[in-house]
Amino acid sequence: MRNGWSDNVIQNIYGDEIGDLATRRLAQRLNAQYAIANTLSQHENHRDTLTKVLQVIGETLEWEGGALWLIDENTKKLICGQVWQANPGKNKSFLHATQNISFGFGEGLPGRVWATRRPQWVVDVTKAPFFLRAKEAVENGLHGAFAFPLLSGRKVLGVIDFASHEVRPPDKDLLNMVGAAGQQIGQYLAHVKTVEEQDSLLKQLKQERHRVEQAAIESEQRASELDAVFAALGDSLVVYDAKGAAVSANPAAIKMLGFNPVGLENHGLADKASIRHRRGEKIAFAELPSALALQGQKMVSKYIVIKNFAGRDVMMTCSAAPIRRREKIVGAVMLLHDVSESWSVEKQKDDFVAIASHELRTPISTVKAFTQILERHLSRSADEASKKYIGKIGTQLDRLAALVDELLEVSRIGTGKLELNKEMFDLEDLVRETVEDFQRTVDTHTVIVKGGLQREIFADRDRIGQVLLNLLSNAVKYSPEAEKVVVSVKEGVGNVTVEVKDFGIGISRKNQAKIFDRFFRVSGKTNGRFPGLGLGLHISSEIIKRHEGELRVKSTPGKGTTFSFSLPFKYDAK
Amino acid sequence: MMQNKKKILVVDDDAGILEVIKIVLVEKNFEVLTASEGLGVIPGIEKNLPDVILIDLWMSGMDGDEVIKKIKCQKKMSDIPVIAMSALENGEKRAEEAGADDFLAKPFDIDELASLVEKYATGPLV
Repeated sequence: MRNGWSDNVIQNIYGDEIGDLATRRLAQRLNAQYAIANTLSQHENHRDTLTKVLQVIGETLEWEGGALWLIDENTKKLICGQVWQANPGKNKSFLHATQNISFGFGEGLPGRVWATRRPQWVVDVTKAPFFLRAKEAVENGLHGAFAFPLLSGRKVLGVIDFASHEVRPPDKDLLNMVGAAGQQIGQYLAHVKTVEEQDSLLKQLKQERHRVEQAAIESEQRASELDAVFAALGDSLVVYDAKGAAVSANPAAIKMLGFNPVGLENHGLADKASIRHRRGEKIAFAELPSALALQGQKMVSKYIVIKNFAGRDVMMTCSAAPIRRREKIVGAVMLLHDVSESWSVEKQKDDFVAIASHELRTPISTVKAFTQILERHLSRSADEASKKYIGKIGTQLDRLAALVDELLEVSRIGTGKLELNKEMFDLEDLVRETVEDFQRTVDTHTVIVKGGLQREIFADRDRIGQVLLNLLSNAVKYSPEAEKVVVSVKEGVGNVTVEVKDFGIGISRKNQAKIFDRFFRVSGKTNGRFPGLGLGLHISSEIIKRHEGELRVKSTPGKGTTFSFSLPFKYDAK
Repeated sequence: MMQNKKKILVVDDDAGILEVIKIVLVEKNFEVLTASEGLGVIPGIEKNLPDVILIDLWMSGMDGDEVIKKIKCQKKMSDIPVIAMSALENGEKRAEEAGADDFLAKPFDIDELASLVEKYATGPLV
């Protein structure tokens, strides 16, 4: 145990031996001062520095242990920041107490020093009533103590205290010295704090700057990527500002148009390039995809016809989408994609169907004509059998011709080329006429007409008649055991509903969902009795759809089936 | 005295059609000339001057429309009545546009064919 009172030779900072006690103590103080200053000037991290400060004080002044107290900003109390022990492992309970205690302003030795801003000496802590760790001090045999504030100007940043096993008489010089040291250490702490803050701030700034730089690089990368896409894109791309002026166009656009649309205001490009609807009608300004996108419509796509650089009409899809910056629409992007290839393919497909139906109708025509010639010849003879057979051939031929017509129809519907000729006409009149014509060809069933309609409707008369005929022939076909078919015409609110009801075999729920599909035919034992392409209902359904209505079915297997459709009285001509 | 039979020229690339139309018209006492492609027909018309021309709109080699237009352009044949035939959907429209005088849709009824030809054969010139 090192003992301040021993006669161990003390060396002063110059290494000379000192003789008497006073001188020795002076030497100690000077050593300590030097050591403190030296330590503080080392560029080590402050934790190490502060520990070392405690160490040098403790060692040069020969105290048992010391602690650095710092003010906890949250609790406004002094808590232990660092400890130093001359003999680590000893004075356990005091150490523990030191590490776990906190001192409020004025409390305990450190708290007092915080309050008075002056160093304090305690001759014997075990006898000092304000000393909060007295119990532990007694346990560990600690008596003498001193403490001094760490000051920066007039502000106390912390406290250092030391304890010893001996009862030590007050040493005023020591107190002065440590007072001065307290200033030094205080300054250091203040500086450290600032530096620390600065450091931390610097670090943050650095990170921030790095982030911004990264973002800038990425943004540049993305921009150059987009530039590449813009330039290389085969489709025409035009960028509009919020007012509809073209501000940018890619090379493909300029090439296709034969001019640069940049600068054209108010969607002027649409005018200059004569952008029209697919069928050639002028597009209203408000219908332009670019205009719609500027209104906020997310993704607009339309078929259009546009005049290209050669003055030729080209079919394209025109798509547009808004450009937003922080929720606000600042422009729009318009993309034009040439579909004339696929339209020509469609046209070819169209031609194929036209050619196919033409080719099919030619031999049908020939056979029909020969059949009729034969019929005429046979009518003069008594060969009843032959006449009958010829008659049957004729019937089948008519069916064949009808099938070819159906095929063509369905193909038209499929490519969207079904054209309707809508007009105002008397539905009640059409129903009666159709039923009369139909009744003439059917003697197994009676068709009853119920209800009526006073007003005219706007629809394609021939097509609606076609639908009605289809439903009538189905009704008869699928109710071989029944005797009647009921047609009813009911006026509703803003529309009229036509129903065709039979009392036949009905349609299972499963099949009800499928009957309007193309080529759907009821399978099973009815197959041989109801041959056909299965197109009639599909075509009928499509025709009604094109009239903004829907062909519906209700059926109970074994009881019968009701088909119904509604037609609105009037709507916009399309 | 035997009246000269009216000459009907039938132009169609399908042999079956030509045959059956010939049978029908011969039965009605017409003289029937046939041709199976449009291009060579014009000089033939000039030479034979038929009373009625029955021509299909869609033949391989040349669209019947073109032949009709040509016929109607040439002074010597422009007032020969031309009946266009077709199995095409838009045949009637095309016939009208080509300048034909009438139209017969395929497959046709032989009576319809006969009466149409008779109508134009017994024209004002007789």
